[in-house]
Amino acid sequence: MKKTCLALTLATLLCGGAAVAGNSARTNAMPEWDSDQLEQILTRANTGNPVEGERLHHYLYCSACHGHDGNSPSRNWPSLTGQKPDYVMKTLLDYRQDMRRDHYRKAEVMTRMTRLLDETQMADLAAYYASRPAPVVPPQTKPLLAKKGARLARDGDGKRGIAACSGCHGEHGESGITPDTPALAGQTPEYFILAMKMYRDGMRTSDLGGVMRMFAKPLTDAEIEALAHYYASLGSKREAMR
Amino acid sequence: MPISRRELLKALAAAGALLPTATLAKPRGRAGHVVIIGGGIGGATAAKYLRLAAPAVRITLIEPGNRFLTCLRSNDVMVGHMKLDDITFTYDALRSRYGIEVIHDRCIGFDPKRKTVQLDRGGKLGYDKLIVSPGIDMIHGDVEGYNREVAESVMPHGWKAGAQTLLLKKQLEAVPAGGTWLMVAPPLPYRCPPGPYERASLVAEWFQRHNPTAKVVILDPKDAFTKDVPFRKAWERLYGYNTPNSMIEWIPAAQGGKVLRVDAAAGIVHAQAGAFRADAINYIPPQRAGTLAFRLGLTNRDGWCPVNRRTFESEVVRDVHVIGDASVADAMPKSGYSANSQAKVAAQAVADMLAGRTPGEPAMINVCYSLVSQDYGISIADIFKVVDNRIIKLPASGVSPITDSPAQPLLEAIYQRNWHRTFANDCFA
Repeated sequence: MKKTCLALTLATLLCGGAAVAGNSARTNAMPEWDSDQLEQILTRANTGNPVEGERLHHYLYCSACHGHDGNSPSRNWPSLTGQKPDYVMKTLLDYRQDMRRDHYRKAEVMTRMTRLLDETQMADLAAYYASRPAPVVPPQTKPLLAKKGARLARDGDGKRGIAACSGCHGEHGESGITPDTPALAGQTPEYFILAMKMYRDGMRTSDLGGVMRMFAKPLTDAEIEALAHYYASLGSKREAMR
Repeated sequence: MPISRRELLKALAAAGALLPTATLAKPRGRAGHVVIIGGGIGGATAAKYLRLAAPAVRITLIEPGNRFLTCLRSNDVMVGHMKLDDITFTYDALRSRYGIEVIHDRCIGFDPKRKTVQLDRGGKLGYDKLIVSPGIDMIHGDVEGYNREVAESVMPHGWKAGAQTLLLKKQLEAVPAGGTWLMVAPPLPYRCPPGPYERASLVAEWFQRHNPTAKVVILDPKDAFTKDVPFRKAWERLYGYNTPNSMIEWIPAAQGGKVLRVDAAAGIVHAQAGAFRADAINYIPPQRAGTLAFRLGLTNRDGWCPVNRRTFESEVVRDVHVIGDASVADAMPKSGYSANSQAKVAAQAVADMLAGRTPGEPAMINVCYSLVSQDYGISIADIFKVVDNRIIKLPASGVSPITDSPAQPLLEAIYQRNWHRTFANDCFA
């Protein structure tokens, strides 16, 4: 019974995705997640096989952009190692659902690639990235900015209604408990900045209930940059990766 | 660890993104005057990159048209995936951002001793250095029955984007159910070596959707072509190639692919292998350097322009640099990307020479993406250097591998679209 339900849910979701993909008008309202539906699919996120995930990471050329071992060598794309399985799985579903038109035309790559994947493969990839340590601190991380970002991340700013990021994303950026609270430690700062501005400016709508859009709204460009360098600085040390 | 082709391409793309975007003021000093003739990919890139290398030099670009249509992706226009507007670019950014004088006129001659060029309407123009990017022209009349009039009516080449592309499109759409679309492929050297095979592929894809029993025939005076291994593998996967129901039939020279004469009125091409009647004929003739190169006396006996490979300065006339398809560039194919690479080398060399510096050692690149279908791309990436005044290809070069990963050709198709956008910006914006 439960299986049938899930299949139906998936079928509905997929049809929704296809309908959106067929109509490429940019003014289209973006689809948003129903959190119950999402939760149901994400029950599969923790059943993946990391060995198969590693094979897919290379076979499907994920490694071409996200790095040989999931540690992005580029400023353009995020690192994926140390990420929670349900966050990775949700993100892959976001793309397949065409919910990530935010990233200008770059999202097309992920939207098309995720249509090659079934949920088992998504779970396998998620398991592989989760099995790896957090990304190494990116070389472009600026310690002074990181210090500024640390205060905001830990304490927030009550006067301006800015919540402490650590409340959901973990004290060390290791991620939180809900599916949409990714690990942030070691993330490429340029990618972090891009994502935060997308939330702040309402261009990324895949967050559940608009929570990140709400939290990001009062942030200035300088604050976003400081947070980016703070979270980047929490990545693994190079020695630890060996 | 040696850098992989993919990493190299990524690094180059990143470098492209770092170009300055600020408006550069129009220079007034006497740092020299460079006249560039031909506003295609080579000429536009040369103008922009010369400005980046030499902020104080006066730069004038002479180009008859006020917009340029790239041959790149014109095959997509033919099959309706793009519009002519998508491959049309203006000279606005060259004027406003790079302080380049753009004169819409035709160069009808020059005086290499006095260093002046003669314009059709605009009188004489002096230069210190001249860069010409003449492109190509078709050779008509080497095959009985084929001439300019035939090319402009019943057997379009579609090798310069615009009216020819639309004519090709019209003829494709008029092929009756189960009919034949025939291409006569050109002999080397010609512009865009994979272009004919991409076009044949996209015609087959179009037929799959709109005319599934129609066929594509390629008559070829060659026995091999660039990227032929991944092309033919993709034809097997997509169009039944090497089966009795193949949508594409490729007839190489060894099987009589060389054309002897054409009968335009009857729609028949006579090749060594016999007579081929077709409902639409795309005749891509042999090519030579553009008329401008002949008018300025820059060509050799073969109809191309010999140059110093380090600076692209003409071996025939001093202080004139020839770039793009018209130049003799050895291992570099005649492609838009090559023209763009050569334009950068020539621009830097001209800037160096005007400033009394010795030009450096060039490194050049060519990348060609081809679509075999809208979701199936293949590519080639070459790196070149100059040895003993010859351009040679380095071993790091390579062609798309054949894998069983569904992601690989799909990614290449997506990269191709992104590439066209960023490449056109590199030339014109």
